[in-house]
Amino acid sequence: MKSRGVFAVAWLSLAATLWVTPVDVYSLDVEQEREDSRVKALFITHLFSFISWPDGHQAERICATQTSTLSEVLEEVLATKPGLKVTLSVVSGEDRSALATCNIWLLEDVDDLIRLQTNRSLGPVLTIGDQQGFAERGGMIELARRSSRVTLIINRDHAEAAGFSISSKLLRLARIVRTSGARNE
Amino acid sequence: MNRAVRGIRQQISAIAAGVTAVVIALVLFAQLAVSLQSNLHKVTDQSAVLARLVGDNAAAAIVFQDPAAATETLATLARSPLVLLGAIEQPDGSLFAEFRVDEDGDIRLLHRSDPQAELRQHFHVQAVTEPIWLDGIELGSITLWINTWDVFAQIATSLFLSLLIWLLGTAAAYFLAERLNSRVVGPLGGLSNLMMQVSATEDYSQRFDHKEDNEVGVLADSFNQMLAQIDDREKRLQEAISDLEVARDQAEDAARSKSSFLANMSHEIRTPMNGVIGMTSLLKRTELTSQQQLYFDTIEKSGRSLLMLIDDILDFTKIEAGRLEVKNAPYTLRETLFSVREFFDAPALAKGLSFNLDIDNKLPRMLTGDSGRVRQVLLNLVGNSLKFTEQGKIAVTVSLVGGELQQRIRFSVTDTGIGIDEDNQKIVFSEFFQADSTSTRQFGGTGLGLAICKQLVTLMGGKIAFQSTANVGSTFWFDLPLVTDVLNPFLSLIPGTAELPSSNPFARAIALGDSNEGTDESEQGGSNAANQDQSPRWDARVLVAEDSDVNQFIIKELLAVFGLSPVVVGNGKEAVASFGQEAFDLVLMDIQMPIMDGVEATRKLRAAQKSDGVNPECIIVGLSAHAMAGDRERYVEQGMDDYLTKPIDIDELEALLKRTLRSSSALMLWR
Repeated sequence: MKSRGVFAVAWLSLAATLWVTPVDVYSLDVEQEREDSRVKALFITHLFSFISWPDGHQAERICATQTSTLSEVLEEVLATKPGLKVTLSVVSGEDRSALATCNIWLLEDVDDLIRLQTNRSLGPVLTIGDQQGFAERGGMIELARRSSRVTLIINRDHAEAAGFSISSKLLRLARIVRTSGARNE
Repeated sequence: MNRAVRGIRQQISAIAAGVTAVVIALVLFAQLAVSLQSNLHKVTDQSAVLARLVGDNAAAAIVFQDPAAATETLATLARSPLVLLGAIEQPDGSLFAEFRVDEDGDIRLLHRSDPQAELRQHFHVQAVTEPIWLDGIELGSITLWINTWDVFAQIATSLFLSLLIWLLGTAAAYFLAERLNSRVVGPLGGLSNLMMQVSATEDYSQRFDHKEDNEVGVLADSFNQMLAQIDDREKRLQEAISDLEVARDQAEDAARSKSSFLANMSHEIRTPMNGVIGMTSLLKRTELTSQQQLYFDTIEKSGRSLLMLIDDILDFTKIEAGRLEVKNAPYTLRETLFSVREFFDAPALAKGLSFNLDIDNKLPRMLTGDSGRVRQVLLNLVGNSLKFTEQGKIAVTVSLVGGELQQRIRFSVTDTGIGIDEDNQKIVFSEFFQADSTSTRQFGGTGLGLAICKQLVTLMGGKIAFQSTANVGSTFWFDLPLVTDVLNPFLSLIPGTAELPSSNPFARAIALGDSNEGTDESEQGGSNAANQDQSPRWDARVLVAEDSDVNQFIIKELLAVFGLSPVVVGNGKEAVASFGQEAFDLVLMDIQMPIMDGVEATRKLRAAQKSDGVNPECIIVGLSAHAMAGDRERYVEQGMDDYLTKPIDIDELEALLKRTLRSSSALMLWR
């Protein structure tokens, strides 16, 4: 009788654990995403130190085509770094006039990138995205997740074609991709 | 080289080498210290630049959180031979990236647990830390651990070279100092050697040869000049010494000649005087008329005076030569004083002068001293008073003066004579002093008496002085230390001996010659036969060795008075021959004789007595007119038992016979 009681308690504990676990995993994913976004946001703020804009321009305004965890965290990070004097705005990908005021695009979708690349009249714009294959498909800076780390993938051809000059220090850290799709470690 | 110069050389060389060594050491030490500091700064500065450069290159890796990239960046430090380890730390102190170079040069891109702690243990490893900035934000710090071994090795090499330089510099300084010494101190050493040589050899003709034209040369020239002056003075001094030695030798020769002359003169004068005095002694014992008696007395008195004069001259000569000695023997004071009174009683009476002798009753009977010299001084003083006093009196006073601790006996002679004027009082005791230029003719005398008195009194430890008023009179006195005869201080005077007039022949002779009245009956020479009757007689064999016929005759006659008939020979050789042929109780041996003198003969007689047993108890008595100091002692040392001075006084002869024949087998007979 007694062993039956113990067995029943064990099964009940296991059941409770299995019931609670899905909730915790979810919380962990959100938290991980924010942490991941925070790292990416910090990376974005550090990029400005290693990338020179053409014609003496500077990074001034980041435009995000849609609100995301990254844009939110980035805004928070920028708020903690007033010295950067870089602002973040969320604009519609269709609002070309608003997009024209930005010299950095934070693109959540590769399609936005492809669509915007057709318009060359918007001037030198540094494109940043974290979707996989962003750099290979025409983006300049891709914040990729590799194992447990966030790494940089730079499409050097696109960046240089747009007149950007990327520091070798940054290039040494990043994975370089060519427009042709060939990767260069 | 002498010790002083060697000391100076060593000191100069040591100082030069020491100063050089210290200076070089200080310079090299400072140089090494600066070099070490400079090289360390240089290395650390270079490392700091390198750290900043690497840190700057690693900034991207830091901000993009890529430690591997940072480590790769750090790996570029491997190209620097100085860096042992590079580490990047984040602002919170956590290690971001690190690499280490092994000692063999391998690069290990490993994250060690704590390699820095290991490096801290090495003194030659230094840490250089620089912050890593990016856009004004400190991303962390980079620390390079650099190996400064090469710096220390370089310093060690420099230190080794410095030691070589120090040694070479010190040696060079010592060598140069020695060279300098040889030029400066070397001549000084030579000069010093010459000084010592001159001092040791007293050869002032030496000179210091040099070629120096500096202060040393001046010193050498001055020394040479000084040597020249000393040499010149030395030569003059030697000349003066030579002259003085010649003069001294001449003076000594003169003194020896003088002494020899005096000795010879004494002998030569005494020899004939022996005949005169001896004859008078014999004549006293013959029957004479009153006129003959008068002539005889005059002859004897003159002879005695002549002897006194000779004695004075001899005494003065001895005093001048410092050879006069005084005796220190017991004597009876009153006997001495009475003999003086006896000596002058008659002459004073003849001049109509009263002559008093006052003796303090507190005076002891017996004293210790030289009675003969005391008597001589008194005779001189009283003789002077008698000579210069025409009327009045002469008084001799003997008393005690001074305290109990320093009692002295004072002999005073006071007269009422012509006195001494004040001008002459200062030179009274000078030699050859005369009261006035005419005094010699009026009063006679040599002028040596008072000078001799002063010397004698001084020799006896006393003082002599006088007080005189011209035409009133004079008082001469002398004080002598009171030295009593400790053996017989209270010896009573025996009536008829000490109190009786002395047996002094002078006194007796003068008394006999000058007075036929007012003198003791027993002292008068009225009955010479009586004298002969009173003389003791001996039955003894006497040998007389005498070369002078006169003296032979006198001695024979004198001995005949005592019943002795001597065997007379003319020289020492005959005496030796006679001595072996007959038995003798007494030998009277003249000193100076031809063929064999008395000393040699005495030696042979003594040898005969000892070896052959000839006349073993025979007494040998020397006879000589030699009256110089030390004669008696010399002849006694040469074997004689006793000694008689010529002219032979009959009383002294009698005393001698009593002394010498008393213990012999000779018989003493009385008439």
